[in-house]
Amino acid sequence: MNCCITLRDIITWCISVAGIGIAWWQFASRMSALRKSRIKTQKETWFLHVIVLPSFPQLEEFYDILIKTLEEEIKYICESADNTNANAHNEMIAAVKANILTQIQDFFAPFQAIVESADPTIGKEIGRHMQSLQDAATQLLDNYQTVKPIDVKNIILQNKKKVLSSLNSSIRE
Amino acid sequence: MIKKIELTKQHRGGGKSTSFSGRDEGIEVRKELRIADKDRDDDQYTIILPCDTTSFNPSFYLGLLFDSLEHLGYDDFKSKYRFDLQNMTESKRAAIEKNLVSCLQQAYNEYISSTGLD
Repeated sequence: MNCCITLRDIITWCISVAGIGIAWWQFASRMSALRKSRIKTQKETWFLHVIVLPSFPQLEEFYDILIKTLEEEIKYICESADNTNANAHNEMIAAVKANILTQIQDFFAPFQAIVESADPTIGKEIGRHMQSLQDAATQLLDNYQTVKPIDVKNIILQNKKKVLSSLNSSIRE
Repeated sequence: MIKKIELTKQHRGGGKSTSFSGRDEGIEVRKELRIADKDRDDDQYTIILPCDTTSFNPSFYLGLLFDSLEHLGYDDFKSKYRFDLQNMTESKRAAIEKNLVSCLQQAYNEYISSTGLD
């Protein structure tokens, strides 16, 4: 039996091997992309269900209480302005501000830690929003003579919007 | 040697505000007072606030001192920069001390996450 390998056989064999290689490479890269996408979806679902959704009612309650507290404190500071001397009034404002700053920090510090454990970038953003909220609250108290309840609501709710937007950013991407 | 850093009413951003607030404002004051140069010397500093201050916010504190904390590390930073609130009444001192606890806590958290230490 005459058994010889021709150039044609070699080319056919090479093309077959290359075809199998390309098919394998395509399969492997598709599987890897699928695995990455599944991990990303799992992370997003976890972040959404464990952090974002359970925090909505707490955030809602926190901002409602903060708005009410600020409105009441501004009213109280305004009313007492005429009955107390300047130093005592200044001390009163300092005490109110210290309590509000602590109230904001007490809510946000543990919340920021949870978010940061899942997503450091969003966690840092939450930290910045907390500081902005503290600044907004002290500014409102500084302007107690001119500030109106609607200003309090608008300014504080702006901050809430930014916090929610940061939390949702992981899902939007 | 212990030296003084005196923050003024102008550093509060002027106007009627009695609060030190805003990270950018803190950074500006840091530049003006050349705090970065102070970080490199061997002196200790006492920071004094105007006596009518009603709030010292974490945002301002971080702008003013966070780079120092990163440069020096937590323990050295704490011993180098201290606040002297003796010019304030007892009630005011208590309020500002409460602010400073929040400031240090937030600075520490940010320091930990920036360095990856735990």
